[in-house]
Amino acid sequence: MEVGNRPASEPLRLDLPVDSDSVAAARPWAGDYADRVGAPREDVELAISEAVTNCVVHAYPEADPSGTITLRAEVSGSTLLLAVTDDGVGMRPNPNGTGLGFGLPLIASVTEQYGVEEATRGGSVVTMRFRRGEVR
Amino acid sequence: VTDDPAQFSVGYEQVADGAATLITISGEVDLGSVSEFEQALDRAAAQGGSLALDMTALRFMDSSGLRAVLISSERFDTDGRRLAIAVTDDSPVRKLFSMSGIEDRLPLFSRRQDALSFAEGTAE
Repeated sequence: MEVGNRPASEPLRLDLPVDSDSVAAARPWAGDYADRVGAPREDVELAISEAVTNCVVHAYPEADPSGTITLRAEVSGSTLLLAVTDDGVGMRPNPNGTGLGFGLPLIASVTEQYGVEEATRGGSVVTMRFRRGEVR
Repeated sequence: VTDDPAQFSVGYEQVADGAATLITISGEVDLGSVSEFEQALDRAAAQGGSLALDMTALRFMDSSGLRAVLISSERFDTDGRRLAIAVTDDSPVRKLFSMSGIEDRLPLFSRRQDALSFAEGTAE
């Protein structure tokens, strides 16, 4: 399957501002890619929504108009790999949060595997793997 | 008004002669739209009476909406008031409740009318 002249599984990148509206922007971007490469769309949309929400809520304790959340999607064999990177302070507990931390457990529920690491630019990168070719 | 099915919208009405509130939400609930949802829940809590929350037309919800539902549920519980939720069995929202491990803590119904009857106290 091809999209335009590009293979459907060509790696994609999307840069988003640090804004609550970026959560809704990320979902169809990742969901459409999941459809193209045979990964479970609903799971992918929930995971990307949680990961971007975490960035917006936790990674920029000070307003940062130049902050960027970077999404990457690529295929490796039978796996769809999504990465969500912030250039803020990474994943830290929000002292004003409610303590109802459902985000990462939900990501764990819908992914084959996920991880949170320090990003080279200072923030965090959340990597999430989904199996292609089956409906969960 | 928009034709975008992802656009969040909320309907709010008093039912059962004012003894209950019916909130109907559709579209998608996430960090960008949850404040509007929270405002409706807060309004229902301040109103008195019970609450039926119709989520059968909701396409998507993440933990932002889940958190709002739980906070509201605890508030109604504390006050000894009923809160009932209608959500279709095969929807992503139902799956969200299930994966979060809170399915058994909330009165979930597959049909709006059943949630409404429970909230109104005409069904157990």
